[in-house]
Amino acid sequence: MKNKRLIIVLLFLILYASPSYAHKPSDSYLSLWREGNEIHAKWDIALRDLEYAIGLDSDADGAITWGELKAHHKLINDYALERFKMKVGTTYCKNEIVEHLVDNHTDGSYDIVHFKINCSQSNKIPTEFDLEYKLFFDLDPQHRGLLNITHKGKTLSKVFSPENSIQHFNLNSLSLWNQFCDFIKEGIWHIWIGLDHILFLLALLIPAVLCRKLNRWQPVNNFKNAFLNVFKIVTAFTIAHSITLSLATLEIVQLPSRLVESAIALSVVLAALNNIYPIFKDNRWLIAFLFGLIHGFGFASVLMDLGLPKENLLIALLSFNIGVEIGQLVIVSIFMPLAYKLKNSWVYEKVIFIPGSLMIIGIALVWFIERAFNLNLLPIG
Amino acid sequence: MRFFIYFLSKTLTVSIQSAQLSLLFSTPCRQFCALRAVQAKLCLRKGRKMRACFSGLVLFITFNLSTLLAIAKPFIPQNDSQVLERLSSGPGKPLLNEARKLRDNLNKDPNNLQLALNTAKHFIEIGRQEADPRYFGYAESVLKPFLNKEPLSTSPDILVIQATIHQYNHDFNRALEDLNKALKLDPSNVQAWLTQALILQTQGNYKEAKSSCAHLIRLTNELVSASCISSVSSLNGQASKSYSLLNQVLSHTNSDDLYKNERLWTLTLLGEIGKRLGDYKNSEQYFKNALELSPTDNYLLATYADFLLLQKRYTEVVSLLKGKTKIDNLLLRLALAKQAIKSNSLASHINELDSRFSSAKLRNDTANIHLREEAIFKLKLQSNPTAALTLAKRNWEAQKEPLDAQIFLECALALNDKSSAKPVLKFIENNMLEDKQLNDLVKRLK
Repeated sequence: MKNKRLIIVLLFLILYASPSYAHKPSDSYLSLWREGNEIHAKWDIALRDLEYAIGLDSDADGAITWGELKAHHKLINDYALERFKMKVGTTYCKNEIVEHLVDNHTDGSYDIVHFKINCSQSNKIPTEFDLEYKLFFDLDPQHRGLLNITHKGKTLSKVFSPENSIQHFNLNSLSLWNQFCDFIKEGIWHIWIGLDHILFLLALLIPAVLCRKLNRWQPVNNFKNAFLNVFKIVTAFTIAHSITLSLATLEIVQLPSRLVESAIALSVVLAALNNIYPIFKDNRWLIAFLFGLIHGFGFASVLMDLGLPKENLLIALLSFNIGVEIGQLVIVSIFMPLAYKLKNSWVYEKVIFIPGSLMIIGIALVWFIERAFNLNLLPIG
Repeated sequence: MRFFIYFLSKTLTVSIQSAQLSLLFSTPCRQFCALRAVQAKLCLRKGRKMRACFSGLVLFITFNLSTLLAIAKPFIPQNDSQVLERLSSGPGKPLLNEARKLRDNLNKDPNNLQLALNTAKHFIEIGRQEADPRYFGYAESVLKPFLNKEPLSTSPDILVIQATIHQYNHDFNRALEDLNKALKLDPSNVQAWLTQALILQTQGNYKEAKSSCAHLIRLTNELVSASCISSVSSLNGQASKSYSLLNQVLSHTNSDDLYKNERLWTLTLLGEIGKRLGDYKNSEQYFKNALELSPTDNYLLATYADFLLLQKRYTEVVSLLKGKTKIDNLLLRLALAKQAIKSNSLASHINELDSRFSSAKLRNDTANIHLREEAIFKLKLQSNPTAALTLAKRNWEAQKEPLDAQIFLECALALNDKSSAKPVLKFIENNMLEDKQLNDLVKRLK
């Protein structure tokens, strides 16, 4: 009989091989931001958690009223603000309460504790510090503190758990490094979706595995020559567009965008045309350089559209440009081996070289008309 | 509706942050384009600027609306009597007062292991009934001091309860470790064998699950051991046999209240086996009897809702789960039913689920207890089979119940990706898993 009773108690526990979890596990939401020379913090703490930790329901009627919460504000200040600390070097900063608000989250009401953090040692806002979080960890090891720090338009998110309750922050490296990576990504992305830049490069690269002898195109005799051709073109293009990208971004030279965009389209036409009627002969690096100047203005308009951080303008410029070069190198490194492999076959001249160039001319002409006369003809570009 | 508005403002607020709100207020048109460029990762060509500006403008208006909502959100209540939060009023309420008392006693007598065990059990039971993970955390914290200092040989129970908490958090391996230790200390611990059997079954390790069940035969009553063995065997080539055996055992067990929890388990199990065998008529009866015993059991409600969904009895699902939206599992089923009957409230349910899945992700937990449900959500409510399959695959690594196999195969079928379904198909074949729904899917994939 005793055994059976034991089972009753124990069998309580069995039925959730697949648990019906619900409500959320306990989380608090902590946001830090800067206002002038002060650090402000907003901490959303669930009333249910506060009730369990310090007891809010004074009349034990199963409902927490605003009056009951208000009566506990002082206790909450003592309890919560003691459990979140900023530390600069070895000195703890002081938390100073601003106000309490209430907010409804999907899983219930939260007390919003708005406070300031004073690190009086210096008048400057610290950018390198430790944060110590230990709210509720003693009562509920599954509790998590979800932190957001907003710094110069960037948001950094971290999670505090019992195993990870002290974390070190360095906002300088954070914001710079993040911006750096973001702009590199944007740069790569832009060259990849900027079909006009790709076609311009391809138009110049298609003949790179050939050379002109006696007015006829012949395959180059070794990889070194092909590589040198490509190297000259890519370098010239890079130098040129870097110059104008910088000039335009720093607002030293500015051109109307319609002019720039139309000129870019025209540059693609001319680059491809040069394959069929040699205008610049073998000095394709010169085309790359001259028109590269125009493409740089195009890149600049994208970069400016992304919103430039004033204080880190150079970082943005540099990293965006690096991104563009990476994207460009990927295209070259895919194209180059393929072209080199095919250079001796009739396919290269008959299928890729002439028809490819003609196709590029066709597309770019349409772009040119579209951009110069503000029309919409093609779904691409 | 309030939830919906809240959700809308929340999501949009987040998007604003990512789009760098400050940009919006500096210069007009160029910044709309900037916002759009960042948002859609589309770098716009100047020639198309007008169009971009227009869509930027639309976004701008939407965002501003949302900032208004977001700013208006935190508030100072009007009067002192305004109720901000109602504490548990669900099925766990009677236990809650008891648990509080126990906890207070424990605070006065912190070295009392028996009291701690009892408190933890109470919290776990409330957590289970309310489907609220907080209580599992409370239980864990009650046990924690003892895990550090008490020589464990004195209490295998503490390990078993710890294992139950790990099981709830889908940390199956740690749960099995604790159970293993507990069983070494106390080889006659019924709960340990049972929990171990159920975890092994969930992992698809039927052979070891059966041998774990076998220990129960001499330790406990017939209903428990038969349920344990039938549960495993029904997934392992002996569905019909398990079905009739279990039915037999149940019919000659007296329906004394003492056996309520066992009977609830057995009836639910019979309903599930019947469903898999396609015996809907009897299955229905088992589920109904189980619901009579416990109309609020969340696992049972979810299982029965699946049974109804399978038979396209959508309106019944809606009335079964009305008001149960706090529980993710049940909300998901409710949304599936509402999708089928094209209900207006579907959109708000989808938003709610989406925000729950994303807020769960913010916690960065290693074991994601939402994987299966999120896969179902992605496939059926968001029509995103690629994302769903990724989730279903990760879920399959952790657990292998019929429902886990089902969502995996459904994703593979939606993508016509037969090769990725291979491990599941092999599992079903090797284990001779009988399940009408699954076997239909298998046929369509072959």
